[in-house]
Amino acid sequence: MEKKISKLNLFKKYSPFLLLFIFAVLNFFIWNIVLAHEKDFLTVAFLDVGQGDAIFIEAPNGNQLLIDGGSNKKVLRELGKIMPFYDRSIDMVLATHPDKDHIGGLVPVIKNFKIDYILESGAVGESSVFKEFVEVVKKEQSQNIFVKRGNKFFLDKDIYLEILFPDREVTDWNPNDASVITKLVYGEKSFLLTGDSPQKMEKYLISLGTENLKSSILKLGHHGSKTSTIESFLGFVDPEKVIISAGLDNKYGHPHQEVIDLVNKFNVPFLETYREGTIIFQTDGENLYLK
Amino acid sequence: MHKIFFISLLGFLVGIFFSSLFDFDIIFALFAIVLSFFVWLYTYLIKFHSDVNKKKILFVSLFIFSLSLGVLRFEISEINQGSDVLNNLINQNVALLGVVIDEPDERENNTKIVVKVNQFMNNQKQTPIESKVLVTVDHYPNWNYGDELLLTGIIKKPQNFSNDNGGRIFDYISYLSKDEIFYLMFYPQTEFVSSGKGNFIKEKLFTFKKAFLSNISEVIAEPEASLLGGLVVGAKQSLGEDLLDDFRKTGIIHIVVLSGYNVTIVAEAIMRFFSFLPRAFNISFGAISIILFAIMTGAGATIVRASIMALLVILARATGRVYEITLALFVAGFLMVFQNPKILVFDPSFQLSFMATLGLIYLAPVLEKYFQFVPTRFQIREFAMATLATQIFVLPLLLYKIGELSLVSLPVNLLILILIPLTMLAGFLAGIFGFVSTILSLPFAFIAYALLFYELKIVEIFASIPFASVSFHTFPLWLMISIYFIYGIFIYKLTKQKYGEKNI
Repeated sequence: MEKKISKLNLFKKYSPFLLLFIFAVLNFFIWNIVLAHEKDFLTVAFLDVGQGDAIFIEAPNGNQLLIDGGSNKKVLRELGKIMPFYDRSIDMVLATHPDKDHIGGLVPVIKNFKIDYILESGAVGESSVFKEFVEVVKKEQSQNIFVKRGNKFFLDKDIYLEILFPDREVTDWNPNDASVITKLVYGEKSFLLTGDSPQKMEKYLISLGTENLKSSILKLGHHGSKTSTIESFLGFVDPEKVIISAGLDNKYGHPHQEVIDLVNKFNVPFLETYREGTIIFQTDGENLYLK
Repeated sequence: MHKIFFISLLGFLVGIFFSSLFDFDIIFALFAIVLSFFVWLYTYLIKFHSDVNKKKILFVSLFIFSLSLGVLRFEISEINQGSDVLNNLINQNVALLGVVIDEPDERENNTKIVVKVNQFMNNQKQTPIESKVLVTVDHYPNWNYGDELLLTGIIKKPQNFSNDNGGRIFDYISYLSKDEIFYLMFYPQTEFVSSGKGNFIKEKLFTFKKAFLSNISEVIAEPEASLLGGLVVGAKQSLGEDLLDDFRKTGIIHIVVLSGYNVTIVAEAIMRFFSFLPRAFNISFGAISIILFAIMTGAGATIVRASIMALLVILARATGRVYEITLALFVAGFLMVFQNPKILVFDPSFQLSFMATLGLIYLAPVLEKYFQFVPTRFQIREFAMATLATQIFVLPLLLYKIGELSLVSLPVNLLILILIPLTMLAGFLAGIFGFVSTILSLPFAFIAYALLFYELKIVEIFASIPFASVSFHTFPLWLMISIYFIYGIFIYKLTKQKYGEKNI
């Protein structure tokens, strides 16, 4: 009996230390939260999700946008690294088109995070992933929008996401052709994100007008496949840097050598997610920083 | 009396061991039985100078007899080689009707389900068969335990493969056959037929588990959420190859892979954690959490086996009767092997949990006198002893199976295990309160997150140290057996010292 009491006393004796520890942890988290909000950059992160696309965007005011989610749950781990741990919501999610390597990871994202707006091209896929995607979108209490060329979504005062394509209904289109093409603009800096759009869509985009194609950063279409990125398109976009979002040793052989050669011909430096891991840009509208 | 018991046990296990490695047949077993009979007969025909010699010969006879029973038991388990119908259809397109009989195992890029097939469909004609198929399917649609599915695709036999460039071959065929799985299907066309064809209680448990896990993922970020899911309810979720690799390097992979070994380790940690409570509470807490964990994981054979062994450790601590508990451990091990002889050689989980248990019962108390320098504060000394004891006992096995020796395993295990019970408790409460409201579960989720974050950081930091682990291309079987033999002698001597001659 004596021994039991002494054990309880021991616990009492050390409980101040335990309390101190808990407060230290809390302190750490609180400062984490305070500091997390003190920034005036637009952050654009090309997440390393293996073979696929996932681009996480956060405006200075804290508004968040996720464009595609890769093919599996890996996106959750990448988001875990880049988002504060207590943040369980993403304001807006855009699914460029219904292929597995773009929406596969969006299914767990929508399940685990609170999403306010879900943007889609309107194209319908046949895969089991797309069916599941439709199911979870239905369950999520979010506003669902089929985007159209000309739509502008303002993330912050001077930061907006402009839709360049589709300009019509694409319900029964081939998924890649129906890819949503967007341009994220903050002051002088901009990011052109083309999903998996093939060459013919790039040509079509040029025919619609070349004045707003010029961008600071271009994410190469279709993970650097030779089915995308024609010379004239690259010329009109005239990027400072090019991003290739693909998995190491993927079965498609992305990025294709032809595309790499073309990028080299234009003398544009390129960054690959399979080599760099997640690629993070920050911009204040005038300067662009690679983190 | 004890000797007779020990010799028959040993003979039986040796019989199973050798017939697992070499191809004997039933004739051999029968031959050995006849041989043992003649050896026994011999003691009657020959006059011995002393009783001791006669006794020795009798023991040989007994040993051969129980060995042959072991061989016989193994050969009987080998009779089931799958279904004749399916064996004739390998690499052909077939349509099979069956039920998902285990919780789906969700991997990074696909899901694996075990389907117990009961009908082979051929042009409207149904042939009843009974066999298990391991099916690889896409993540979606999500199948559940108890779903009845129509699978159309090519049926294959499993192949052994080498899992690293060192040429270490993994005996996949035997590994699957211990669960009586003889066939594989990759991405067949899968049609839903009906649900609710499984065990009612299990179905409810898995549904609860799924909801519990989704509560956790709603409040905790990845990869912390997946780690927590594995710890609390034994969820089979992917942490990602990179992270798993780090866990392997730091020698703490056992807490994420639901191996049965983790049941022992975690149960021990829980007991240590609650040791400030009166002993009766402490022991009941330990026992209850093991049983709860076993139920939550779905009580698969692996976990049930490991849980029984973990309960024996608790019993050993409660009663202090090391000798009786060891006996119980061996009897339990024997019964498990008797029930499924293939686990002795082909189930690493069984071997690991058995060794870890043995280490906790025997070695941990012995280490006490060498650990006087370690502070007793927060049970640090006990944690250190338990960690070292289990590590020493599973090391030869791990070296033989995996060939990787983690040099940082001891500090990593110590730094992490000490907080695992608190992590489980906070995570459990977060998941449970999640059923009521998310807000209510948040405080617990934050505590759990902080602990998980710390645990993952430890793994990450130690994994980044150069030479955190050394790998061996070959670690021969004989070396492993000799090391365990030395352990055996050591334990024998030790027990003799402690309890005197009479018991042994």
